[in-house]
Amino acid sequence: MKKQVAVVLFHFLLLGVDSLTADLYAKSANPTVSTIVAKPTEPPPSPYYGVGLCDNPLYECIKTMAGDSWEKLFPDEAQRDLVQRINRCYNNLWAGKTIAVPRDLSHDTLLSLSPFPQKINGEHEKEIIVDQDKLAWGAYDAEGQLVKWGPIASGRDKCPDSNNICRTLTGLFRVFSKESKECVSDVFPIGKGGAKMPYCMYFHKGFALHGSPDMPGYRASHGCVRMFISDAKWLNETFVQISNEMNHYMGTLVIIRPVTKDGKEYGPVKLAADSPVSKKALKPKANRWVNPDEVSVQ
Amino acid sequence: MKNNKNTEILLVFIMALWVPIVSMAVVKPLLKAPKTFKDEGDKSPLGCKDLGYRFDLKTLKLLPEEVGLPQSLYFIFNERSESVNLYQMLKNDSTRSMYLNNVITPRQWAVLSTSEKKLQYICTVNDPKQSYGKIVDCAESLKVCEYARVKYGMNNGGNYWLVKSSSRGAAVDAVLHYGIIPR
Repeated sequence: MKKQVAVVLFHFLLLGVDSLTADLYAKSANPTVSTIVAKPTEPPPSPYYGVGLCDNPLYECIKTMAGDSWEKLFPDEAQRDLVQRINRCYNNLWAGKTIAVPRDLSHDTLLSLSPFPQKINGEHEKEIIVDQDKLAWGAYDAEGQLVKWGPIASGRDKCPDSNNICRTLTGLFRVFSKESKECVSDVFPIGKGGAKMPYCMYFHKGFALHGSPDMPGYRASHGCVRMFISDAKWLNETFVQISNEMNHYMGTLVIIRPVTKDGKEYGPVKLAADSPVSKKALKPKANRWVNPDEVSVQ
Repeated sequence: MKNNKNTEILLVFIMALWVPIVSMAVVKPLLKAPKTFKDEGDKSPLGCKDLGYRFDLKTLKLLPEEVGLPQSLYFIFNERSESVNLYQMLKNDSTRSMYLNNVITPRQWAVLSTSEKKLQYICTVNDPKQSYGKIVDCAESLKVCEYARVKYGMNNGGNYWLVKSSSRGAAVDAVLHYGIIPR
């Protein structure tokens, strides 16, 4: 009998060890427990748009109140459009939201408020630059002249409905396919598809530029580049050519710039929490009259 | 006699309890472990040729048009025991206005898809005193090879880092998974 009790006790002793081991396995499988990696956070307000312009003397910032709407605050349609572009947002306003308004709104134009330089030295090819730091796209003609620009909402760092990073792939691509106002996603919502992507223009795999009614003023997509619907329509119908035999499969060039921090690509990279790079404060250097391309990187 | 039989039954019962526990202890870590590939070190992937690049004054020049088709695939291995930052050098008058930079962790591979005529990189290692790090000789830090005749689809061409940093096997796997046929 004593032998039986000893065997049972030995068994439970081992069981205890095993459950402890299982717990350790679980912990080692969970990166939040076992690894110390600086958690990426959203970059500070950008000096290029929205509340980041509040320190800029050329802008004033107003806090909206209950009952305010874009139409009520800016009855003039053209001026409203400019203010929405400056704030990279045309979603409904809510009480307490701060928006930046150009002080000289009546004289400002789309190009005078551009975050992109008016002219770049071209290689005789038109291109669309998608700048995720400026949260904007710019279309340049073959002579390097800025034709039009507008807000974007590109891929967020992490999607709530997926384990994957939703960042927009960065690099240089060419538009290989475009569709009309009726364009819909095959993938999103996950498992169903059917999300509206009016005037979609695919540049790499499932990544596309497309119109969206949801432009919140920050990166919010699953990886596509959202833009104002009117902008997507203009690009789709007026500016973009898809790759085909006629143009030697050289569709319109799309340059997707990365999200950066201190001039370095910002993302899910392991960055020591005490790194001088992470501590260095961002100084807003650019206003609308400075060419930010000359001060941002290298 | 009966007592012995009871002991045997109890032992068999306990052993039966142990079977799933022991098997889980063995299998669980295997299931939990990330997909790993045999480490072949710095050996270039099969068919990846030692061409289409040049080391010049500590920098790395990639020349996709030198051999084969303009759209090429480069495998780049970090031979150092520390991360190497690759900073693209652009001419002042370039419209490309976008730096295809990357960081390769120690003894890992990166894969660059490109159709640019020429790309030039400067190599650095992290240095707390300088934000872009300390310049090192690319020739002493990297091993490079090119797939010059790659089969791309309409939708997966362009200039981008397909693999930022991973093992050789995982890098090859990622390329194939992406629908690109290196040859």
